[in-house]
Amino acid sequence: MLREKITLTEMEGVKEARSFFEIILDSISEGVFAVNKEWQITYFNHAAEKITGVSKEEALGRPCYEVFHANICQTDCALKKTIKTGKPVIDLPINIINREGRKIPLSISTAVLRDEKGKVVGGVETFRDLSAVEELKREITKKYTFEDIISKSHEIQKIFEVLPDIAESDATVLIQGPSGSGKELFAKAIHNLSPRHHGPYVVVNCAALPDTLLESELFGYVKGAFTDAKHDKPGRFALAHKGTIFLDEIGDISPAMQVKLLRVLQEKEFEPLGATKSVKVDVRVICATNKDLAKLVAEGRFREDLYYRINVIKIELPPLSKRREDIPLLIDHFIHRLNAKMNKNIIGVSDEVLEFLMKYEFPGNVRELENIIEHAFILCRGSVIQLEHLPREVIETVRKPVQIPTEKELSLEALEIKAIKTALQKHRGHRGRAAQELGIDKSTLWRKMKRYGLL
Amino acid sequence: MVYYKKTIVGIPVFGNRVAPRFDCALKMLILEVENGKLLRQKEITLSWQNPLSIINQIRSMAVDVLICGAIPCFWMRVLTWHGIKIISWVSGEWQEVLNLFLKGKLVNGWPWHCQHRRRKRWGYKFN
Repeated sequence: MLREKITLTEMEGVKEARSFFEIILDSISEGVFAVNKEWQITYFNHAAEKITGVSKEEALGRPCYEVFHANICQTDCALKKTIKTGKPVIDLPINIINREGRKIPLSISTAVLRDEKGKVVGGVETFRDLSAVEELKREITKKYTFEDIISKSHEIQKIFEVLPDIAESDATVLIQGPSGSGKELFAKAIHNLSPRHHGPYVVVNCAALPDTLLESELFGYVKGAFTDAKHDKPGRFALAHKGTIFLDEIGDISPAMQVKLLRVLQEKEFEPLGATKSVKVDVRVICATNKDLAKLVAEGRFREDLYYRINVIKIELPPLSKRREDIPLLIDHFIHRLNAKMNKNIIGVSDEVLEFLMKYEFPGNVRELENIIEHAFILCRGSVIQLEHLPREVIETVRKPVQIPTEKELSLEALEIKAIKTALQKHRGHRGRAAQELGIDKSTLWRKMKRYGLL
Repeated sequence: MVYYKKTIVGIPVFGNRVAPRFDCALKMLILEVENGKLLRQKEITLSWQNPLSIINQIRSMAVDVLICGAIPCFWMRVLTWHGIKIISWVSGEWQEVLNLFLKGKLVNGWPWHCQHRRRKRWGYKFN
């Protein structure tokens, strides 16, 4: 009887101790989970639930690889190694996929679990969320990849489909698109997908430097080329040897620079400032501009031969206003990134904000959207971004009073006349094409034109 | 939904089970099914040199439906663009999974995957 009482007290003590340890483990920010020898999860703390997005109830009893979805699960499981060798793994960088389908960078450490007799009964893994660190690293290194292109618009999809083939070729690429539409991201994606991805990727903003400086920056100089040239300096073309050079804002270079650039593209060689010998380089060139180069050629402000040299493959990026379906997706992406960077927990934007942003024209495109979200992030103290957190000029632009059409202008007849006139104007009077655009039959269009006296 | 027409199903595998993560799977089963029956099967090795090689590999196999475990949003988007139907967040032995699929009873394990907070609301307008 006494023994039974002691056992009960002991059991209660064990139970108490267990729940005490669980409270401790649940209050730390590191994720902790334990597995038995069959890889089934036997313990899963609160932080593990938060990081993975999987609840404790769902996780317990399931194989760890089906809860974690880590990149090492199928090939190089750290826990398996630890249980096999008895050696712990410390701070191994990995990534997992959470329930939203996002890759979460983690740092993991593993250890063996033994019973009181020293027999191995499983393993334990602790992990830290490195999203904030990785986000800051990316901000500094600008290491964006193919996977960072966030879009579901039809136009981007079309580019995306040919992007791998473009990357595989060695042809010069011209990326045209308004400022902030992601030209550099596409250039980087092409480099990363190309056979040159192990080589350097050098970026030059042609508009940021005056002509003389641009020349020495692109082609380099030799010692004594000018007063301050105390030693040889390799240019960006030489630095990009066996890699890719990205010439941003190519439409802004002077006619003199255009000639020099043409030579590099044609002969694949150049002369550094003050040098007597030419230097041969093996570089893939990607150019970008927010200007219409064909128009500049027509105006005589851009060399035609250089234009044809760089316009081997042309990618035209649409402005954000033409791919509005991407706005919610991009908002979500920026919120996720900023949450990691600023250590906040903002879950999204209010319906009103979303409605506002869907109406906004975004002259600065994706970059402007990113800045708007960052601005709101700084001001937002709650968990949802509200209208008052947006920059004032955005609100003012959207709220600009619109001209209210008169009753006469709003009539179906008036709207129909307007639509027909616009379609005809667009297709230079071609009734067949206009009817096609309006989604009506050619004869219906003719009848309507007759009725409204448009014939 | 039962697939009566000839359909090519791809299942990335890890031993006998559906690979827990698509973008880390090394092997994929290519299964030809018709009228709720398995006609042919073969196993291919996936080459993850770059996204291009995987897209080309899956396209060359003419995969109509991909049954997989976890899948990053990026891959979800790209494969959907190429007209591949994806049944994701599936776990278990691949044969059991295939049987469920043939009976038309296999569903996404995590239906809200890749449908970030706002997509559902705006989906009806843009999808």
